[in-house]
Amino acid sequence: MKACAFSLALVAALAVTSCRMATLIPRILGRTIELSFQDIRPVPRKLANPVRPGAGLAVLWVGHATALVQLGDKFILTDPVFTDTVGQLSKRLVEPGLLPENLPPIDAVLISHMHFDHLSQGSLELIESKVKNLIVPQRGLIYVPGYSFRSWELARWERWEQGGLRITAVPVRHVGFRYGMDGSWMTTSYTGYVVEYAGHTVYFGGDTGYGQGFRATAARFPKIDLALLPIAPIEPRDFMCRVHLDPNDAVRAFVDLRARYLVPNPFRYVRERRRRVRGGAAGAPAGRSRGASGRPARGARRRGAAGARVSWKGMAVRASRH
Amino acid sequence: MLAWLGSAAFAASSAVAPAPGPCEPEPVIDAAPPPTWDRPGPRATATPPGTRFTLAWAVFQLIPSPELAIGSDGALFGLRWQLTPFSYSFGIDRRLSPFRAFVVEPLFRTSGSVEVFFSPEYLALDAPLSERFGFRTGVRAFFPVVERGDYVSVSLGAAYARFGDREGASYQAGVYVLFGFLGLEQSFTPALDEAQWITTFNLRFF
Repeated sequence: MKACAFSLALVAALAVTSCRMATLIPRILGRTIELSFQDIRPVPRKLANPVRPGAGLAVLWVGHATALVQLGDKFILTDPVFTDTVGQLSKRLVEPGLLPENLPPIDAVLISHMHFDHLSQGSLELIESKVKNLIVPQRGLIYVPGYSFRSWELARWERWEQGGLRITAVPVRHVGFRYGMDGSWMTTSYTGYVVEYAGHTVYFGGDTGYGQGFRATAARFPKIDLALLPIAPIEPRDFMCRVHLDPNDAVRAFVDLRARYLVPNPFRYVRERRRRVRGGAAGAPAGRSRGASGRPARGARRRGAAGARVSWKGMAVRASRH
Repeated sequence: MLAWLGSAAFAASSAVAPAPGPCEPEPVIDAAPPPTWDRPGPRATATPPGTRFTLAWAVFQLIPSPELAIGSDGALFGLRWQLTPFSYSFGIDRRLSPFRAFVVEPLFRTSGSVEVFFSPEYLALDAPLSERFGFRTGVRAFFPVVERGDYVSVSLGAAYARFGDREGASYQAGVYVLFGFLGLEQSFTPALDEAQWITTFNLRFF
């Protein structure tokens, strides 16, 4: 009887999942095929020197989830992707906003999770000589084959510290697999990070759905200066909400984090469906973004209910505080 | 295709687990201070991934790779399955165990590894049904070419092959893309007159 009930439950669960996949997969496949015939759009104003002398905190959005964060004399690179494709099939829309050879020496590369658009072996090969340390979530080292830089794993709330640079893994809501099948055991290989150095604090969300992690993080890091928050893919929402933020969720997360500045990324998918951000819990900023579409988005700099300023700009968002 | 397979595999393996309702925040996270909190400093260890058998893995192993054999009787159709009883990786992080049995992550294999393989095989030979089924078992080494083997890897191997009362050595080489999911393998088995040269369109997921 139990076996029968289990089988029925399994069949029902698979049927529901299959229906969702039936709508999602053709979209992904169609988009992938469509993109494979398109040229990668160039970035017109690519920076040659991303270093801002004297800046206490600066961030340069390179593309997708890749951002170069400068904290005084320290440089952090998030989820580096500089290759033309991810997962061999998905072609990027726009060139990265910075060439790998123009990167400064990177004190730490942060890998938020194992997906191909966040952990790119080809990109790590391109920047290998510039990287001193690579940090991955717990169990993530299995997908970091031998490189010349040092690599470390951090479990949730675990901390890495070197030369005054302090990086803490913080909870987010996502999945940790790389190939799908490994989702059964790669259950902890996704994380967000909080980076602290010289009095500045930066939050990097990787990919995440809306969850309790933001408040838990704010409770331990009450003075976050800058939050890098991921937005999209958004639809189908009842499927994606557990793993990705939409613009409303991003604002809620930003307010939960009590951060001063928000840089949303990746814009890429936001282009799929432009939405006005509802007031939500924050009574918060309404903004529209075009993302990495080759031209800057309509910039909006608005004040949220928490008194925080949100800067939504296009290609390369740079917020700095001296 | 791969995304679909990957997502389907993950969905199948997680479908029976209880999950929060749609768009509901997950249960409270780590209310108690974690044991590692305020314990600074890098950790030199690496957590094993915990690779294990799953139903989805077993289902994917049942998918055969089609092959075309060329020999004294012309061209023959065939099917090949594959198992990896043992694998040693020389490409992965040195802090992790370099050994796997049966369940082998794609990057573990393609970033550089040596494995013992066992391949049941069907060839449409002009022979009784029982003699159309055979097997080959041997050793194969993988080498990464592009993106640490995630994009392109190659293999070289040798095996013992047996079909009915015919047996002998077999040699093979392969090239793989898409994390080793798709590949083209060429094997040469001198003792098997009807199918000395076999080209296999390799489908492998873990």
